[in-house]
Amino acid sequence: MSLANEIVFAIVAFLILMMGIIFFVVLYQRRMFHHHLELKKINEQKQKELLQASIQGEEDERMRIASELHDDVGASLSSVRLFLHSAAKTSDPEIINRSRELLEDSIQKVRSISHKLQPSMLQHLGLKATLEAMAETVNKSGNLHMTCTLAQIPELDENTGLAVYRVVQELLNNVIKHSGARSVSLSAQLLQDAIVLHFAHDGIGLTEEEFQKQVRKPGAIGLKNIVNRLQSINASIQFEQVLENHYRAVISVPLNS
Amino acid sequence: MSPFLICSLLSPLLPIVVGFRTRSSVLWWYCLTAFSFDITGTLLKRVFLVNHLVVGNIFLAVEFLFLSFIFKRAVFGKRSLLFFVWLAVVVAVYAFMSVRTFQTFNLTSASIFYFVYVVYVLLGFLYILRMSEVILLERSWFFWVCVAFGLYSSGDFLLFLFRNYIVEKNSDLMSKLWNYLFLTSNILKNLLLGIAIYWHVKPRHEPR
Repeated sequence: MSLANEIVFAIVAFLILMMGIIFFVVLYQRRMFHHHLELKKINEQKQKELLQASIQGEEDERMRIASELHDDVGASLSSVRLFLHSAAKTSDPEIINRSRELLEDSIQKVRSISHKLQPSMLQHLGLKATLEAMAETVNKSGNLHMTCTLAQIPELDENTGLAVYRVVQELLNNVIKHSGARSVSLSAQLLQDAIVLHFAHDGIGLTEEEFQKQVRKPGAIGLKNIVNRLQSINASIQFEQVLENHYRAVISVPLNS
Repeated sequence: MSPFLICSLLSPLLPIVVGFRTRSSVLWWYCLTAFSFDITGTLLKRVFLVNHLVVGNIFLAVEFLFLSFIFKRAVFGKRSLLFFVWLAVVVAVYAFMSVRTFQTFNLTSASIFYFVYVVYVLLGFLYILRMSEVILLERSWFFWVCVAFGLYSSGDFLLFLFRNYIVEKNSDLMSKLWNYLFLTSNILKNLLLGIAIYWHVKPRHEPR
């Protein structure tokens, strides 16, 4: 082969090399594009599910309040009305006393519903006192023992406090319903720029992997609400199994959230 | 004139027509300039029978400036000072090298310029792959610019580098290479630039 032909060969080789580079760029970028699309689709799906869960959670809460108002308070007040009708005719002190008891019972129920809707204690005494009161209520039931070590918890703004309270409430509900735990502990640790809450129990719990799986599944409204509430204050949650029959959820709340 | 030469001469008209309505991009002005220089060179050579190689030498510098501006974002990023220093140094060196041999085509400079374009193109591809926003390549004007100049400059830089040698050994081969390689790659480049200008009209998050 003469040198002139070798040069031609080199020119062709150079062209082929450039085509190879172009081909590589196209393939690589196409793969990136598909990956990006898939990621976007998953994110959109997740957002949709979270929104759905949020709406569903709200609807469930309304249903619960409506049923409590209708079945408990409504029924009590109807009975009071009936008793008062009778009392107007007979002036029997027994009927009046019964009506008063029913009215007090109704007032108590309305207070209870109101407390569940927006714990006034949270507004007046703060997150620490509210969580301690929650633990006290749980301990009174006698089925579960809850300890709180919240000395380091600082004053949080209303939104953050409410979100953390709701998340702990949901975790506690799940423990009561599903874990079969005998004891629960809640502790707080103050870091430089965040507060870390450790919620641990000795029942059957969730690992991070199981939590992620559950959150992606349709349903699991409670868990999705946890994610929603924490996202709204830029906080995060991490589930882990510490020992056999000992699970823990670690909630990190940034202090500037 | 061979049909290849005519096609090559007229091929810049495609991107010129495609981008005529906006006429805003550096790319469009590059095509118009290339067309003007090609026509002027051909007229000087074939109609007025005078030395046309001066036009080629000027075009080399003009083409370098255009391509540097087109690839500025991909190659230099936001380092504008470095960019202008680079332009000034290259043009000054080129002028110094060409001043004594301006009547003959500066093959060495041409091949160096074409090698620089290959580097520009490779950095352009890297820029596309590193872009934070993933784009559809076939709709990216910058991708088509990279393809056009990648094929054009990688094919032609060795041709310019060894042109004298090939002519000396086998002038017939050089004429074939010129017709089939250089002119074809020029036509291909202009077709691809037509596509690039077509997509450039639409607003996108890419270097402009």
